[in-house]
Amino acid sequence: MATAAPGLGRPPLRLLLAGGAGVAFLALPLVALVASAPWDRMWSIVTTSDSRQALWLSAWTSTAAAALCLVFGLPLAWLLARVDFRGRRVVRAVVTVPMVLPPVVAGVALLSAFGRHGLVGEPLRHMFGTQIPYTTSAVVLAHTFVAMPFFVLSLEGALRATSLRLELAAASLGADRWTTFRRVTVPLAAPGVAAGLLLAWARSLGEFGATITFAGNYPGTTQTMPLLVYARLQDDRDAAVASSLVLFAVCMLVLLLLRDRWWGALR
Amino acid sequence: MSPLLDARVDLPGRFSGALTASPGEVLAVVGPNGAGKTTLVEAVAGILDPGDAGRVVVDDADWTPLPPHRRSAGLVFQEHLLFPHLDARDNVAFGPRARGVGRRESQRVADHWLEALGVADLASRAPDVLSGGEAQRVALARALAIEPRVLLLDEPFSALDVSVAAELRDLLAHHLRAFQGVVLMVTHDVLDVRALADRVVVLEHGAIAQDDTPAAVAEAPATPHAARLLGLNVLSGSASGTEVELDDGGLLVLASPAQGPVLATFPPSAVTLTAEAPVGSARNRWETTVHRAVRRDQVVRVHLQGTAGAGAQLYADVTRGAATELDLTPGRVVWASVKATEVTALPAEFVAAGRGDR
Repeated sequence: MATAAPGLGRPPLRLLLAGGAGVAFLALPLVALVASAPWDRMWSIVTTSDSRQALWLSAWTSTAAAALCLVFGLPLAWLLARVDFRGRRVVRAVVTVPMVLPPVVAGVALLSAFGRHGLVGEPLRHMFGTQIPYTTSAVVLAHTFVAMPFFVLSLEGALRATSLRLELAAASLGADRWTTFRRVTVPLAAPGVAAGLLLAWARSLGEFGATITFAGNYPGTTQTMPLLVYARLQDDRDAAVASSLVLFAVCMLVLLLLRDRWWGALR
Repeated sequence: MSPLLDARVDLPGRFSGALTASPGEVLAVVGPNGAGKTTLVEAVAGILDPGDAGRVVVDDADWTPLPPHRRSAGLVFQEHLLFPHLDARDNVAFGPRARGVGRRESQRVADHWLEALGVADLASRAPDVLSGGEAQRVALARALAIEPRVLLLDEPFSALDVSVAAELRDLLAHHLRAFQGVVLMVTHDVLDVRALADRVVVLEHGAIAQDDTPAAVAEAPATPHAARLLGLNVLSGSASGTEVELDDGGLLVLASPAQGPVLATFPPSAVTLTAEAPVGSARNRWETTVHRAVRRDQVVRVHLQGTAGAGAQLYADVTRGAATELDLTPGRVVWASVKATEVTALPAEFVAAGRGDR
C-alpha cells in the first residue's frame, strides 16, 4: 500500500488508535468464532441431515435468486444506464429501497403482496390455487427481493463504464440496439455481470429476516443455513457455531473471488 | 446526375449548411476545432438529429428519420474502436452478421476485406495485440465490409506514425478508386487532401466557407485555417487600396487594390531570403529571425518569426545550397521579401475569429 499524502508528516496518534480500535472490533468476533469452534465435532455436525439439507437449500435458492436477478436485473440495469427516460430517478430510488429496508420489513411487505390475502397472492390463490408464502418459492422470492438492488446497481456502474463509442460503432455497422446489447454491451460488461451475480448470490446466502418472515423456518423446504444457525442456537450452541463457520468460509471464498472487482463494480 | 448524398444540417451554433456529392467523390472536410466538422459527420451517420430544416438524403432515399443502424454509413474514427472481445475477423464480420448475412458468408466477406487491406494474416488476433496501423486497417476493412453508400472518416490517420499513415493513405487511395459511394473525410492533414480528396469543403464558424477542388482551394483559400493547412503563408490585415495594414503590425503592398479586412496569402516558394536588406523590385520586405529550418529533399522550409512587426509567422522555401550559404540556423537574422504580384488578397469574411487557430 502506498503511503498517501507524503510530506504531511506522521499520522496523528489519536486517529491511529481510533482506527485500530475499529478494525479490532470488526475482527474480534470473527476470531472468537473460529476459536470457539468445536473442531472435533465439526465434521459430524456439518454432515447431519438437516445441515446437508439446509446447505443444499441455501445453495440452490441463492443460485435461483441470482438467476432471477440476471433475467430481470440485467435489462433493468441497462435501462438505467443507457435510456434517458422520464422517471429514471424514481426507478433508481425504487431499486435502491430494498437495500436499506430492514429485512423483516421486506418480509412483511412480501407477505402483503404475495400472502394468502395479499394484493397479488389472493387472486393468484383463487385463479390457480397456488400459495407462495412458507414455500421454497417464497425463499427464492425473498432472496431475489433483497439481492436484486445489489445486482442492478453494481451492474449499472459496470455498464456505464463500457464505451458508448463502441456501441456507436456497432450501430454504424448495422446492429440494432438488441443486437448491440447482445453482441457488444453484455460481452464487454461480462466481468461486471459476473461480479454482480456473485454479489447477489452472497447476499442471498446470508438472507435471514425477509426469509423467516415470508417463508417461515421449515426444515427441508424453507430452512436455509442462516435459519438453521438461528434454530440451533436455541439448543446446541456448538452446532450453531459450526454451521456459522461454514457460512463464514463460503463468504470468505466469495470475497476472494471478487477481490478488487467488488468495489470496482460498485463504484 | 442526381447526387448520391444530399445533406442539409440546420443546427445553429454548431453547424448549418448544405452539401451534395456524386458517386465516387471523396470530400475532405477541413476547418479548425469547433467549426462543425464532427457535427456534419454525425448528422450524416444518424448519431445527431440534423435540426429543424435538416435532412439527409442518400440515393433519393430519405435517411433523416432512420436510426444509425438502418443507414448505410461506414464510420472510421481516429481511434480504431474495434470490439475488444472479438478477433480481427469477427470484427470485420460483425457488419455483415448484423445485416443478416449468414455466419459462413460473413466470415468469407471478412477474409476478403482483411486480405484487401493487407492484414489477412492477423485475422485471428485480438485487437489489443495489433499495432495502431494494423488496428486501423482492420477498422477500415470493417467499415468497407458493409459496402456503405457513405463512408465517414474522422481523422482516420491522425493517431498513427507518419510513415504508417502514409502507407495506409496510399492503400486507402487505391481502394477508393473503385468505391462507388461518397466519402466524407474530416482531416487536419494536407497530405490526406492531396492524396485522397476530389473536393475540399472548408468549414468555419459552423458554416461552409468554401466547397471546391483542392487546386482551387489552394489557389484561393477562403479561411486562414485552409490556407495554413495547404501550406500557404497567411497574413491578415486591413486593406486600403494597394496597402494592407497588418494586424501584427507592419505594412504589406498588394498588386491590385482591395478594401477592408483581407486575408493575404502567398506560397512559401514566393519568399526570397537575403542576408542584407534587399534592393530591388520586391515591395514587401521584412527583417526577421530564423526560428527553425526543416529539410525536405532538396528544399529547406524556413520558419521565420517576428515578421512584419509583432509576431507573425512566415514560411520560406529555399534550396539547400541557399540555406547553407545564408547560414539559416535558428536565431539568424535575415531579410524576407515578397513581390506584391505574388500576394493574393481575399476579403476576410472569416478572419476575425479564424485567426490564430491551427
